[in-house]
Order: sequence, then C-alpha cells, then structure tokens
Amino acid sequence: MGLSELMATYGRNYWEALLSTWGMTAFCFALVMALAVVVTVMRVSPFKPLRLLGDGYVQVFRNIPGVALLIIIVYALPSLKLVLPYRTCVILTVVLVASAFGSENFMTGINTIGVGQIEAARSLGLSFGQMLRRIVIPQALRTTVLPMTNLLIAVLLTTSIGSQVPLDPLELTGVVSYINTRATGGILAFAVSAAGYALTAVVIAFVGNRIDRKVRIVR
Amino acid sequence: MSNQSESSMAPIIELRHVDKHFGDLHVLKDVSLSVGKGEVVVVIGPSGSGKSTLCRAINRLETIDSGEILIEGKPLPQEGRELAAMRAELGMVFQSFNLFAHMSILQNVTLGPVEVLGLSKAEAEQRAMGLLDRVGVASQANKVPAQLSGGQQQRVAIARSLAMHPKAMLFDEPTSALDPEMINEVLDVMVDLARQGMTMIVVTHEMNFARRVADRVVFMADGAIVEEGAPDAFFDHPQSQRARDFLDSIKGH
Repeated sequence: MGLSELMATYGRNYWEALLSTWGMTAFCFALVMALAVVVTVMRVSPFKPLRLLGDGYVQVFRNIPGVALLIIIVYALPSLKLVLPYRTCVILTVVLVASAFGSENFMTGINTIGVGQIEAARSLGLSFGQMLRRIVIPQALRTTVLPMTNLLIAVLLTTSIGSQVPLDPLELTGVVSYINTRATGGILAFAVSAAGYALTAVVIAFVGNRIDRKVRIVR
Repeated sequence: MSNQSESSMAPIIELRHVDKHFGDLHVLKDVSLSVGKGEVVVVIGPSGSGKSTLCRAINRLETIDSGEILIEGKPLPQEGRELAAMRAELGMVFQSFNLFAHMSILQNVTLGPVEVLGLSKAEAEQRAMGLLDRVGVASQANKVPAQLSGGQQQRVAIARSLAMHPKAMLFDEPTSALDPEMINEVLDVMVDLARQGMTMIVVTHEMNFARRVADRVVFMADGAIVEEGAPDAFFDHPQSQRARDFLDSIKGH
C-alpha cells in the first residue's frame, strides 16, 4: 500500500487521531503544570510532613514506567470499586508521571532564585504565601520554560500509552495498530504517525524557545 | 517626667544578653545593645566578629539561642503573622542588594506597600517614584535590576525599605559588594537618612562614614561587644587592646 492509498483510505482516521493526541496532550499538560506547582509548594513548605509527602510523590511517580502505572490504574483500581473511563485512565497516568518531572524542573528553577531575594521578601514582611506567589513561582516559571518545553514533548509522546487501551477516537499510536490489523500498512503506517509526533514536537520546541527568550530573567 | 515622654524615651531596638551559636562557634556572646529613636549606631569589627549576625538577628533572619530582643519594648515575635508585621516595620538593606530579579525597579519598590501595607497600586507608585527620586534613580524606574550598576541597585534597595515607612533601618555591610567609585553614592543616601532622623544600625567597614554620621560606635570582636562610645572618642582614644589592634590594622587604607 503506497502513501497516497494509505492516506486516501485512512487519512480521516489519522486526522482524528492527531486531534485526539493534541487534545490529550494539551489537557494533560495543563493538569501537569497545576499539579507540579502544588507538589513543589509542598516540597518547599515550612511544614515537614508536607515536604516529605511532596518528595515522596516525586520519588514514586518519577520511577514508575508509564505503561506499568496505566496497567495498575486500569486493572487494580476497579478492585477498589473505582472504575474510570479508559481515556481518564490514560490522562491520569500521564499527569501523575509527568508532574513528578515537572516538580523537579520547578525545584531547579527555585534553586536559581537565591536565598538573598527570599530574605529580602521576608524582611519586607511578606507572608509565606505572598512570597511564593510574587517572588518564587513567577521566577521558577520564567526560568524553566525550556525544561518545561521538553516536558510538554515528553507528555505528547507519553500519550501513546493510550494505544494500550481501547480509546474512541484513537490516538496517533493506536491508529497504527487499527490500520495494520485491517490492511498491510507496514512501516509506512507507523511513519505517518511518527511524522505527526515529530512535526508537533518541532513546533512546540520552536514556540518554547521564543517564549524563553521573551521571559528569561536577566541576572 | 510624664509617662508619655518616658515611653518616647523607650529604645526602638533593645538586645538583652543575646547568645547564639553556629554549631561549636559562639557567634554572639551575651550581647546587650540599646538604640534610641533617631540614633545612628555603627557596628564595626573584624570579619567573623558577629556583627552581621547581630544585624540579621534583629529582624529574625537569624534565630537566637537565649536572651531577648525587644522592638519598642515588645519582644520579637517568634514566627507567623506577628513576625511578618514586625519585619515590615524594620527596613533591611543587604550587602548583595537582593532586588527581585524578575521585577522592574518600580515594582521592587511597590511590592511591599501593595502586598503588606495594602496601598493601592497608584498610591504605592506615587510613593515609590518619590523615593526613587530621592535616592537619584527615578529615571531607571522601568528597567530591571540587572540593567543597573551596583550602586544604583543598592539605592533602589534602600528606597524599597523606605517605602514601608520603617521605624528603623538595618544596614548589613551595604557598601561591601560595591566597586570603590560607587560607595559614596550609597553612603550619601545614608547620610541624608541619618540627618533626617532615621533610626539606623549600620554594620560597615567605612570608618569615615562612622566618624561623620554615627552617634555611637559599637566595636565587636569574637562575638562580643568589646567597646562602645562616641565616634571621636572611640577612633582617637580606643580603650581596649582589641580595638587598638583593629584600628591599627586598617590604618593607611
């Protein structure tokens, strides 16, 4: 089967799969950033149990393979009487793993701030929350644009674990299996999806670089 | 004497028998010090003598092991809201300026008044521009700290503290990180502040500043206050051997 025939027959499936992958990626990444901020705030809080919980979260979810976590969520949670839709399982897996990495990025960003600015903020009478909101989080966000861009690409690629469960619509990796069980797309069927991932990643990296240059903090 | 005039005589800052250790190192040894309203106290001494720790302990950037620190007669709060409120009333100027790197100069000066004092943005900006003008950097208001020289950054840091209308200002070696040609522009601002009646504790190596501006010089060595007195008396007739050695060692610089 040539490329033109493949696209003529399955072009629509690919397009839907690409949109599905993009949608999951965007949705996951928004949750990843929110959860990463929460976990990071726990890890720098003055309250030790919270710090331990935050550190523990990162250690656990940074070290579980995404597929293994997906299997746990799909097959183990139902025995706790918690049955989630497949798409939710995939999103949950991606968010749990990626936010652990995101929190590590934030910690690196926080470490660049320097204790002097924190002391200056404290000596102005700012509360812990005000200091986080006005000094720590804005600087951590602005210094971690490039690592977060990498993380977004990682999230994009990790949504491919959605191919391991039945999704409707399929995502970009799942659609290859779908096509190859119906026709002999062979390696070409994979190549089309790979191009979808690669082009998306190129755009993400380009935009990430532009944003970084715009918001980077001069020191 | 009436109660009112008595209370106005109460020291703004008072340390009573303060002790602190860093591990085995005894950095503050039974330090007692009292600073009255409008008084300018300059703390000098060799490096490692505990003078920065003393300065930082007063707004609890360092904790103390024992003794008491009182602000206007009230003990320094341990933590939380009361500590933050007390810190807002004491200005602090650091050796390394510590401006907020992601904010404009103007935002650096308006942050405290808006977040802590609850001023509107417009009020805070008006106050900030007045102060930036007073320290001579109003034309830099929209730049970020990295675009300013060290001397300019330190003057912004002073304006940032003044914007809180503090009861007293603490200066922790404010000119030690500056190139020589920028030291005077910062000292000039501090001289003006002193003349206008600001209560100040200044940790510094600038002996000329101490002689010109200080009401009292406090000499520290090895964590203890060894000697204190009026600047002329101290510099011309130091009483202790430690002070004589120290003054000899810096002579000719």
